[in-house]
Amino acid sequence: MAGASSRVDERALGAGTTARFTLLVALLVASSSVMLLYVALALAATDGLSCTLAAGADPGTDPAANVMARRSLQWEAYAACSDRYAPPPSGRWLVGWWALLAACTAALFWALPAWKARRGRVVPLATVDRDGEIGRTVAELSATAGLARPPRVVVDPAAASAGAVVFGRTGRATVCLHGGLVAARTTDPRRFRAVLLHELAHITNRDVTITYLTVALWRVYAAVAVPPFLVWGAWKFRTASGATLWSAEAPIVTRGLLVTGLLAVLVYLARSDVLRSREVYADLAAVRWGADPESWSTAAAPAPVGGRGRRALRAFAELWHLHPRWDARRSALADPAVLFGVRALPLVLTGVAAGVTHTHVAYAITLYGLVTNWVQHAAALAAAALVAGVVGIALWRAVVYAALTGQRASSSARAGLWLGLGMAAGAAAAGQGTVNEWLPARPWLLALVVVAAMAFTWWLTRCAQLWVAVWRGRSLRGVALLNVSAAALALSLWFLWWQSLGAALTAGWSFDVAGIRDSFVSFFVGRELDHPPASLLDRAYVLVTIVGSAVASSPLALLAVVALWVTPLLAWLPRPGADPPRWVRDAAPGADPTSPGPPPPGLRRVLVPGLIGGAAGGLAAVAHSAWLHVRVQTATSATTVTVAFLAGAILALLVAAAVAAVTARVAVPAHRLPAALIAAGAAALVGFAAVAALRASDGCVPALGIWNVPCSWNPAMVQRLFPQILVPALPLAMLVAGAVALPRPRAARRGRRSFDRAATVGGQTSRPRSMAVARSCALALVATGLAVATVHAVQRAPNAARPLDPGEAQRFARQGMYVVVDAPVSARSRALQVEAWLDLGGDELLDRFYRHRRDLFAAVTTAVGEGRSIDRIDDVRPLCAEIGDFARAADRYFRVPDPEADKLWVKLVKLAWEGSQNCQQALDADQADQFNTAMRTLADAQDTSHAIDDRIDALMGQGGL
Amino acid sequence: MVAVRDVVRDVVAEVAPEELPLVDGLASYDDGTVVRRLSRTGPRREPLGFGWGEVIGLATPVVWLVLDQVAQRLADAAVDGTAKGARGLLRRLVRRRRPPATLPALTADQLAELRRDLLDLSIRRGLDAQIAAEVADAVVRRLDRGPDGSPGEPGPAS
Repeated sequence: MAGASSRVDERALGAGTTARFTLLVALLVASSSVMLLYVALALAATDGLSCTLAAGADPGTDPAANVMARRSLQWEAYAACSDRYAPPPSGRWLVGWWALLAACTAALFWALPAWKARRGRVVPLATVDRDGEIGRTVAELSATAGLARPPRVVVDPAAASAGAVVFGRTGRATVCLHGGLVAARTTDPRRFRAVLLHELAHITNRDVTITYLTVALWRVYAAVAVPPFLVWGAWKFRTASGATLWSAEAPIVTRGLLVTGLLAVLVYLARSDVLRSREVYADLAAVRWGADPESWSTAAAPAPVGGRGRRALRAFAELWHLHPRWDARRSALADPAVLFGVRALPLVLTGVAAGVTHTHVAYAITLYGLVTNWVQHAAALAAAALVAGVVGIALWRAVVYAALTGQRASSSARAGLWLGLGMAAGAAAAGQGTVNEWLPARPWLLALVVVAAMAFTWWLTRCAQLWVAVWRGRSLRGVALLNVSAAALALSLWFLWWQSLGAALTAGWSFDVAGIRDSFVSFFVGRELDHPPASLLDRAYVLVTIVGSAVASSPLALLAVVALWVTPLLAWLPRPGADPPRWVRDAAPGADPTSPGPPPPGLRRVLVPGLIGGAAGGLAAVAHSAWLHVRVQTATSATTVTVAFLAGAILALLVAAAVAAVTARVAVPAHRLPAALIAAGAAALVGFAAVAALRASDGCVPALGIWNVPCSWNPAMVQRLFPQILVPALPLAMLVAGAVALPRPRAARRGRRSFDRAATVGGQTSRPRSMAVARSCALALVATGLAVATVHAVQRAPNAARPLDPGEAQRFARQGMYVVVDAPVSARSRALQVEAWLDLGGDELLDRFYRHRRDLFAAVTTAVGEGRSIDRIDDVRPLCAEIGDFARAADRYFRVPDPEADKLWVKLVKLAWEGSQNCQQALDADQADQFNTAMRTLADAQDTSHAIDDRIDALMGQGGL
Repeated sequence: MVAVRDVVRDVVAEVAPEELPLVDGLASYDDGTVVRRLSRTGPRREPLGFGWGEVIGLATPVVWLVLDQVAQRLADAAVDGTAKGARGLLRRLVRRRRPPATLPALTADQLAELRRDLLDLSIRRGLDAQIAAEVADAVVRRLDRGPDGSPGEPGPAS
């Protein structure tokens, strides 16, 4: 292992700077886009609130769950209302806005160097360098730094500091020497060279363009994007704060302003944090090129030591600095541990940035009706890739450093905790789970975000440790990229789930267990079954299936899940070697050539637990079939039997995963999470094969038959069971394996230590023996996993590109996905609701019916007056048909947001439809009696419409409108 | 009369020759710009700099600022305040270069006061006390020599 004499090269792995800056850019772009949307919606005088009112929600007092439910239950009407009265600003606005921001940023980026190097502030080097000595030194050091040509050099003669600064673009950088440095050139030439090399290192390290691009974007954001939004906020507070529904808008407006303030702080802190680490990289490069480390010693006195409060205050102040403390820079020259550490601040900032960005992007996707699975997953993947890029690289660097120095790796749990707190705070601040309220109805569910982030960092760290221990290639970049990409894909599933379900659950979303169960069961069986009351098993099954289906709806879902165990499994495939890994020789030239980290045991130790688990799953499936065979004989409800079958089969796969994970944990203690995941993944596949075989041959073993069919081989069954059992079970199998592999309390761990060592050593010796067979099995497993993921992707792809039809969404909602909970409605709110109902289409529909009915009656009266009989009044048919059209349009419109008026409305629509149909049939058949009945029905309908008018007038009167 | 910038160059050449490139650089600005730029003392917070706060003591700003202050004081005594204010504003608006500040021959009292000012600012700008004294002495010696730098009449301060 590396000691004090063998410093770890800070370039052992990429620094992740680009990912961190990209996250900031994404945050600023997403945030400024949402600001534009808010302002544009306000300017266009769109009225989204009235559609919510007309849907029967009371945004002032209804809990968020009810607002969601009432909109969803009438989604067809709500979507049409939003399209008509609250359309989003044209997409061209958004594109134009991005173009404006990009143009301003580009202009500022180009103008900044000119401004900084303007005459009156700096002078050309030739003015002060009469003998050309400084120019020669710059040329010499530029060559040392590997620059093709020396940068432009200017001097700020009025700056008394002995420093310098670089600005412009990486390809055309300008170094500005401060007057103090020029003066120090003759008195302290070592320092002059050190400072110059540091600045040249910024150019070589490609810091210049990215830094000033971020500076330009930040200034454009603050000067162009924020002011209109602040005006919007002030205008809202001024004009709307007295309005009845202000209580529903206040949280949204306040949160918007709060997030803007938060972003300002966030971006500044994140940028300063990145820049501080870039300074250390530049210091290290300068020293590598021959700068005297003593030059850093003379720079400033060490930070004074104070009490805890004073130290905390100083640490807080340092967060805002663009440079690290001098003592930290000096110690980093000897040991760059600071560049390999996982610190809380960047993790929190990354979490907040990702939470806010993803929420904003998801809002825009919904607003523009772009909700397809691909689009949603693409948004989730973008947020996840940014998090994985920043956090994944940091964790990998920490693992590499710990492996090379023999130090204990930093806690992945703590890293996950900070990241998760940031993600939860970002999501909550941006309005996820809150809708129209200040706080989410179930705030404790935000803890799930933290757990997800901890799982993410845990998996990444354990996989990194595994790969670092086995990899023998020259560079770790390839395997780190593979690992981080797999982590990004897995995290994208989390973002997708959280956005589509988690946030709604946090907001208080309720669903009808029996309704959802019945829709799942009828989908599986292919027909409607009975509707027994919901049992505890139904509850568990529905929860598992809802959670699973929200994840599995994406075509890439299984690929992400399979990648969780395929990625570590691949680490077992490279051949072990006796020489020290080549990357270790490059990263820490003087390091001890032993393996960096505990070597994984033989492949068999990982694969056999999978087989054991699979066998256990097969036994569980057989036992379940036998139990169900008995149950079927006495059961009265087909729905209950189907749920028992589906839930039992999923459970058998989870049993397989659990047994496999426990066995793997014991067999591979040094890498227990990767081993448990591999074993659980393999066991779930084997278990599914057993379940599928049992069902495809249903009836061949009488004691295990369920469906009372003759013995035959029915391979089509596998296709039916795949989405219903394997797809929801695989993500859950990973959760089970993760839970099994969780670290035990310290006391329990101590007892196992001797066994752990024996198992690790035993694995090393057994590795070469049966490598070929085991590798073939592993490759087959990888191929099977990827094949399963591909089948899922192919099955889901056609639906994933299709936006959800409003009618379909409404049908899902009415099948039990949304339930309205009781909440009192004030007379004022009721009046506002019925007023909105009238204004947004109710009045128009009532008028339409009135006009058509009047015209029809007038035409019929004329015809009767002219003495025409039924066979000669076909000219009234279009009027009857128009009343039918009215009934169809009324059926698609909102129900009246008052129970009594709604009963009348339903009656009106029914009567109008009957009257229209009877009228047309009577004309077809020349049936005078039926025609008279139709006219009487329409007269009834007219009376009903008057009653609706009266009721609505009364409600509005009671509400003071 | 002697130009402030000439005195500065002579003094720096004598006591801090390593700062001569700075004087060369500053010489390309008019006196107003030089004084404005040298008056700023705070550390610069710039990304990708070497670090902030490591300001070092330089003789050039001390000498230039104090001499310019004295030159302005003596010139102001002869000009009406209102006219001066209007001219200053106008100059700011049109950004006209300020003519080089000059110093007349100083009395012994004025030289003594100048020396005190130099020492005072030197300490505030982080100059070592011994160097501060050398700088102050060099300035007084240079002003004693007259406009062309040749030794003049023994001054009242000597």
